[in-house]
Amino acid sequence: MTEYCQRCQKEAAKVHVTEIDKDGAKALLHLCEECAKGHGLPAPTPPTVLAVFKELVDKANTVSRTRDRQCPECGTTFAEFKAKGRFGCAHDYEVFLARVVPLLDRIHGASEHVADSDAIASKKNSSDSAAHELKRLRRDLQRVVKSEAYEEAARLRDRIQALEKELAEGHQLDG
Amino acid sequence: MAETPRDWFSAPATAGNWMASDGPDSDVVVTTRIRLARNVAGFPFRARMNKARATEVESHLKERLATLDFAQDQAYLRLADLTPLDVELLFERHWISKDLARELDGPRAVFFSRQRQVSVMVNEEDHLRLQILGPGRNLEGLLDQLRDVDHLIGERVAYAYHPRFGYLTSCPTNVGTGLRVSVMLHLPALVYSKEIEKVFDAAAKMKLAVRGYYGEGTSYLGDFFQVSNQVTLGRGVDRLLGDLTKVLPKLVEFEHDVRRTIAKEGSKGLEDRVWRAFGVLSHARRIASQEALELLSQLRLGVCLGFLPHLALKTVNELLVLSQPAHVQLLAGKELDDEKRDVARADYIRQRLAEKP
Repeated sequence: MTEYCQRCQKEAAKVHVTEIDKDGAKALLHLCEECAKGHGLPAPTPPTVLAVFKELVDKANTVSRTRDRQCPECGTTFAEFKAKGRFGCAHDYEVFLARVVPLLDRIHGASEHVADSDAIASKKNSSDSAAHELKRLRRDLQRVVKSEAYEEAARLRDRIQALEKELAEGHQLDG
Repeated sequence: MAETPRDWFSAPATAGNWMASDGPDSDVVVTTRIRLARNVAGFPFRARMNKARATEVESHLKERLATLDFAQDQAYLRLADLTPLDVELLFERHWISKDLARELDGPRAVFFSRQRQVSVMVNEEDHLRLQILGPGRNLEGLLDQLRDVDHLIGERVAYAYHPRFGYLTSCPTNVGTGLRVSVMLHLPALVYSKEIEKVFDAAAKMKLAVRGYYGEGTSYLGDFFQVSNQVTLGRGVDRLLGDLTKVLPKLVEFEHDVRRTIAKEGSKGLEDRVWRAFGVLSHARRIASQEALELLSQLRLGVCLGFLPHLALKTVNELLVLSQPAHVQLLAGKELDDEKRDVARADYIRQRLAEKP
């Protein structure tokens, strides 16, 4: 329910004043803006320079509080990272993402990893990994034969043969 | 009784095997080291790890690395179980970093295979630092072998990995691939002719780092420089390796050019310096390790320029390794103080230089 101005009874009351008379008696007045002016009360003032400044300071404090955000996992703050040059844990990269990206751009001229086809992270399937193992064993074999380590060579040969068989069977099943 | 680094490194003839002594450009390209930085998911990085957590990571990795079966000579050593001399031997052979050997504390370890020239440092700046060493500039071959090791460990250990940033590392300078390829170059002619500054400038422009003899945070000694990639993110491993491979021949060519020019000018300055180095090394009764390194560097250049036909590059490479403090004590079979080491070092070098080819 709208409260009307106690003086003109027409406009909505927007100014609420507590008047205190000489004897110290209080009276509560609800007035519209126009009647409040007539009553000798100041209209709401535009924000002062000081107020604007205070607002800025408050905002700056909020920003610096985000800067000092702690990693929930390890407790490292960005300020600590900057002092040491070392992150506290893997989560820091995500927690400080907004500041990590420009940092990486500065250091590496890039902020995205280019995974190489051979990497673990590319989640190879098991036959891929067996093929990889086979490739490795064959290379090992060449090396140990060169160094005339025949016992080791025989061991490698057996493993290669076993793996080749395994892979061949796997392919038959696939087919 | 289990074998220790002392047993493994006791044969002088194999001391320089990780350095090139034949093949193209072995006069300039000494050795290559490739490393991958990895961390274990679920554990804080070193900066935020207390001793209990560090011990947990170490045990976690020990258990998993033990299931690897890629070479019969593989071994896992906790640094705390080794004598200071053994730790220094591992460092002088570039098996472990200066930081792991001397600067860092807490539970640290190294897993390695001598035959494969592969080592895995545990609780270095990152939980895992995989590295491979090899002579000369067979970068692709070495990378392939290291990838195998990475693959095998990755099957056993959950790496800290981010879909956008790749392998997460303690320091953002290593994030992404975690790859550092360092090629050790011997550039005495560029230093002699004061052209080396141009190498530094060119390297900086190409985002390559130039480091000292023992890698990161070590000084330039004996005209040896380690050139390595600085960028680890935004390019695949192959591309990063390719970028370095493209620059290397240019650096090698630069050193060769200056060597040729010096030889053509017939200046006796450089030749004189080489022979003076030979003179001191063949006659001194006491020599400190840094002086030995500087003089052996001159000798290395002399051998490559043909001033010292009776001396093999392999011998100089061996002496470079064996004249280091821990190796001098290894050869002597006992611990020696500074002064006694200098005498033993001079004795050994004299004896080797007097050998008939």
